[in-house]
Amino acid sequence: MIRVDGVGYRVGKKELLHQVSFEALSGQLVSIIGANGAGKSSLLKLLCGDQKASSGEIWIKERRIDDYHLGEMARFRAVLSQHNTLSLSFTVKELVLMGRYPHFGSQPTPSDIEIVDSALGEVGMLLCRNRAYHTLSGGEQQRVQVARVLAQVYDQPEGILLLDEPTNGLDMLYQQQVLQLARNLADRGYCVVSILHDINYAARFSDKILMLKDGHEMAFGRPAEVVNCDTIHQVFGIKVRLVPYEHCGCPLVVPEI
Amino acid sequence: MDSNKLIVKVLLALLLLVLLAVSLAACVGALHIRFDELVSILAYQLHLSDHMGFSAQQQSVLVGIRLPRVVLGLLVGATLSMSGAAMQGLFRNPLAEPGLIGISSGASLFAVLTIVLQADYFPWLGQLFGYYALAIAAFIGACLTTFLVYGIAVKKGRTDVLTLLLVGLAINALAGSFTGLLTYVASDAQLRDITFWSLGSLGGASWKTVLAISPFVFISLVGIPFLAKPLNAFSLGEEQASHLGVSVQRTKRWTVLLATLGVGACVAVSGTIGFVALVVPHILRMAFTADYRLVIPASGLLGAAVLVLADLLARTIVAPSELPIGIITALVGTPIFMLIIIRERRQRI
Repeated sequence: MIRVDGVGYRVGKKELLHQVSFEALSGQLVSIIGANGAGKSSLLKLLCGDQKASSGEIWIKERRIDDYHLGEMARFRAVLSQHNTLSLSFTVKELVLMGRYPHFGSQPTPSDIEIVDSALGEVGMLLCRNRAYHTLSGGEQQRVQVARVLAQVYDQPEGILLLDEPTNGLDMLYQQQVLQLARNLADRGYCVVSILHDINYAARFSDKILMLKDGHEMAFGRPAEVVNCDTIHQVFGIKVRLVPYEHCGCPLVVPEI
Repeated sequence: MDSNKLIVKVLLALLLLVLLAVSLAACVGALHIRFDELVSILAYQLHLSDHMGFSAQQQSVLVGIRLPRVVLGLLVGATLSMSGAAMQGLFRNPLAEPGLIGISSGASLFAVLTIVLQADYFPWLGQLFGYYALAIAAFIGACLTTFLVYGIAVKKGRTDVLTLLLVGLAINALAGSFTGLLTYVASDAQLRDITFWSLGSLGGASWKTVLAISPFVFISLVGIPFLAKPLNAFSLGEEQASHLGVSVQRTKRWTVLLATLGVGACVAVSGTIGFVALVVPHILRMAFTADYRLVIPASGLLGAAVLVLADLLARTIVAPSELPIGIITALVGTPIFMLIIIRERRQRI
């Protein structure tokens, strides 16, 4: 679904990404992890089409990303950015309805409205649908933004979701719920690419993990293949210990203190 | 769909308000016209009846003086408010208005220049355009400023909103100081003209002025509502809007273009009328929703009604003399604006 082929990205003289290649298929959740400044967000920006790669190619559904129209792409690909601000006070349902903008002309159809409610239901915010966005807590706002992104591709079985730290500002319960939601979406056939900070969450929920360091690809593979003391030391520069964890094919990573 | 029902209801209610304001403004004045007389004059003018239940003087005052003024008020009010709403969406800042990026002050600078210098230095201007010289100068001023501001703020097809605001601020200051400078060389009569211009007035209304601005104003009144959806998405952020399939650059370009076209034309015939563009969209947001699909068309209607009523006050409270309309809009607008800010602060806590 998404194929990244030897992509490099430079701004001025600074090389932010160097020869990154990976593939994310329909039905997969791929996590991107790495230290701060490793180029995770830059990579996601290239995948969104916000920025153009300096070298290499990005293919989305067998077509080059540059060949897509903005509006065409918006119908099957949704993006959750890291920083979400809202300049005017919309209500929750108005905001989530914006996710349906690529799909209707001037008037939302009844199915658009239904999708808004379903998406809000998925993140547990249906009861707040008439509240003003600004009156919500940070975590609630994040969940509403997730619902907006979800609404955008809700009826697109071959949809693509690009998430930049979706668990930002959420407590443990909702971190899990949001990741479980991402996992379920992947199981339904979506292609989900997400930047995550927590390596244990990444290992537990994703099919593949891409590790970046200083713009270089350090590892790409199934969690059991790539999560080990060596790669983590290389990527994050810290010593860790692996603890066997029976519910998951991959051990728990615990920092050595 | 509750939101669409709301939009229709609000727009219908505002339309009623506009009709009310128009009939009030048409009837009240130095020469009083009763409502039934108004109806029969209109019916007569439109060849619907040949019953003359009115005096010839009433007819000529209404048709020749009052109606063009009311129509001009409607057009200017609607255009200013709609442009204001669109600018607020574009800049993602509820305090933005066309005056902020220098459109109004650029226009009034050129108008003031014309008032003061025309007789001595550019007599051909008056010969060529006659009565319209001032309006044309103002319109050129508006366009030039917008091009200048936009030219500095847009690099490689990308608009930096912060730069746009700062340049607008600088131009406002520059235009202000030039205008101040010119008041020193102006004669007494010119000074009065300048004051009238910088505070705005619909006193120059005639069917000719209405016709002159109509093409510009109609383009912007018809065009701006189409920006409602992209501008809603803009409130999420420019990147987020583009992820929703909104072309950020195209939205910016069209908003600036349509707003300049409309506001330039309005300033050209009525001077700078403050606060309408700022307060009207705000009132609607506070009362109903921030959704531009409602706010933009509703701003047009409410702005039209507000300006017609403000003009009614301006020409009646010190009759037979007249106040600049900007004084009324500022007097009424400022307290409302303060109330809005205070209320909003309380809600945020």
